[in-house]
Amino acid sequence: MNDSRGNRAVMGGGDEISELTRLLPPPAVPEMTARRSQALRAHLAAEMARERYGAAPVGALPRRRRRAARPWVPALAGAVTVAAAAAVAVTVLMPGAPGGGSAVAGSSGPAAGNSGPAAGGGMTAMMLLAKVADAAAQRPEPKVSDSEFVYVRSEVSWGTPLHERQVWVSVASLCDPPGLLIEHGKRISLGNQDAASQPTVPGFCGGGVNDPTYRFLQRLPTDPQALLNFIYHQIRGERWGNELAREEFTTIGDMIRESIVPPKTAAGLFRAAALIPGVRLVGHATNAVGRPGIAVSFKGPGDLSPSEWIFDPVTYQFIGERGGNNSQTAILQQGFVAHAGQLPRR
Amino acid sequence: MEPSLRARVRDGDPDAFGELFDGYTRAVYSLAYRLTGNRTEAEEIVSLTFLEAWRLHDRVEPHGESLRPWLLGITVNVVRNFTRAARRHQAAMARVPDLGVVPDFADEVVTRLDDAARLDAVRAAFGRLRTDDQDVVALCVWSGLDYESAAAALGIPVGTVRSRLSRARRKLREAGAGTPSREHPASGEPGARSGQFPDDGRSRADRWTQPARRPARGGTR
Repeated sequence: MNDSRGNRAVMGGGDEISELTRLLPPPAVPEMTARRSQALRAHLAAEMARERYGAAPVGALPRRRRRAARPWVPALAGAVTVAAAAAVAVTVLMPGAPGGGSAVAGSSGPAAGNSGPAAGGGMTAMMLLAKVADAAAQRPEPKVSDSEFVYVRSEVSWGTPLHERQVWVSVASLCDPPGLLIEHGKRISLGNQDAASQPTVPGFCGGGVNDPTYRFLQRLPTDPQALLNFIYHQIRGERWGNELAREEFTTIGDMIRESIVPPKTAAGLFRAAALIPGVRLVGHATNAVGRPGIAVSFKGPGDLSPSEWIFDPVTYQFIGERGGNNSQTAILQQGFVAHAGQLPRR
Repeated sequence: MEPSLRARVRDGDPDAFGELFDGYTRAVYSLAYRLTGNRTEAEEIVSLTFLEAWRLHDRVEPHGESLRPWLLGITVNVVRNFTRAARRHQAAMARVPDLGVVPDFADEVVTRLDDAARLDAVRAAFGRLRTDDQDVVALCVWSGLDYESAAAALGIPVGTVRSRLSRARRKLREAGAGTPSREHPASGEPGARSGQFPDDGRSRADRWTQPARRPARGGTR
């Protein structure tokens, strides 16, 4: 490995390096403390990240319309939103929801917003996202088999009348076994035919940043910066500057919208979101069914209105999103079930 | 299957630069410290070296072994063109967290008077070499690069590496390097502050060597 020996034999008459080492022994070097080293490393990471948000290079591509992640999932107008935190194996039921039932979301009763810390007082978006991430990280990691389905029930409005939407997606695949969507009273199979209509993307069925499966989310890095780097690579060459920041916010939103996010991944995603410049706190927000919460928002260049991710002010679970064109959602229930079409027990 | 660290660095993957930092900070810092003799400056040079590496990532050769020689070559360039590098990354450097004053290395590293004297002698001898020769000596003798790697790192022919080393050796032999220098008797005398260089009113870095940003050449001369 250290070839200097060999080279010396060939090149120098005599052992030049040895003699030089004797003449000039290497001065001892003090250790840089771990703290200093960490600080310099963090600085480098921050500078690299900063550069990614810098001015668009001349000739930057115009922003392309984002492809609808799952064709069957309408993105909220403008930028997207998120869904997520509530990565719980059990179902998460919001009281008062149509078809509602039982279990209450989270632990401490988050019912129609009474309780809750004085939203906003001294809080920043970063602080909120940190709390959301911490809360997510503390939830138990559910044990899930590949044969199960992620079920999410929500109330949604894309500027249209509010209505219920239920979706089942296989834990490990977008294609097989096929998922199921029930919306407007119609049952729509989500599976092979949808995959076939997609551009051929290797690994599509396993999920991606815009259309994740549970297993896909489990495989993601959990380090916030690594997550942003991963997203950056997924959208590479398409976004710069504020466009990139919006894309990152949007992409994280895609990953948590109609998903159950593994606890560590959820924590990483929200910590990553905290690194995106331009994310702001919204002290008081309500989801589509009127449940009060506290939100973070992002408004990209040219967006008419910001996109918001709304969290329960006590449990910090994701409870819905809000975007342009009066788009709004409320997550009512989520859980793992054995078959598409089956409802979580309880 | 998995792209190599070199390929990822070449590709500008920030994660790869994290790995690069973890793997080679020590080597970069050691070289910078030995060239400047100043911990604070050496830390600045670490930051600048990696910022430069980030800037120049697509110039990494696609094939090769360790990236260590490439980084050390950048380190030498940063030391020798400190002002330019610092100007280029002025905004970034302004954001380096203030970690407080670095304690005097001498208090921690050099504990015995004869060590101090010897170190001083090495510094003195090193400082008398031409800058070009110092770079080659630092890379080949102190950082352990072979001739070819040093040549590639500095962008000079291998033959030039060899001739500079030969010249350095000649000069050091003539000067009787490797033994405490008579030029700084105070540092070896009882009563001298442990490990301190004689206070001649110059900065430590000037005593040790003279990076290009220093107007004067010749350091300990």
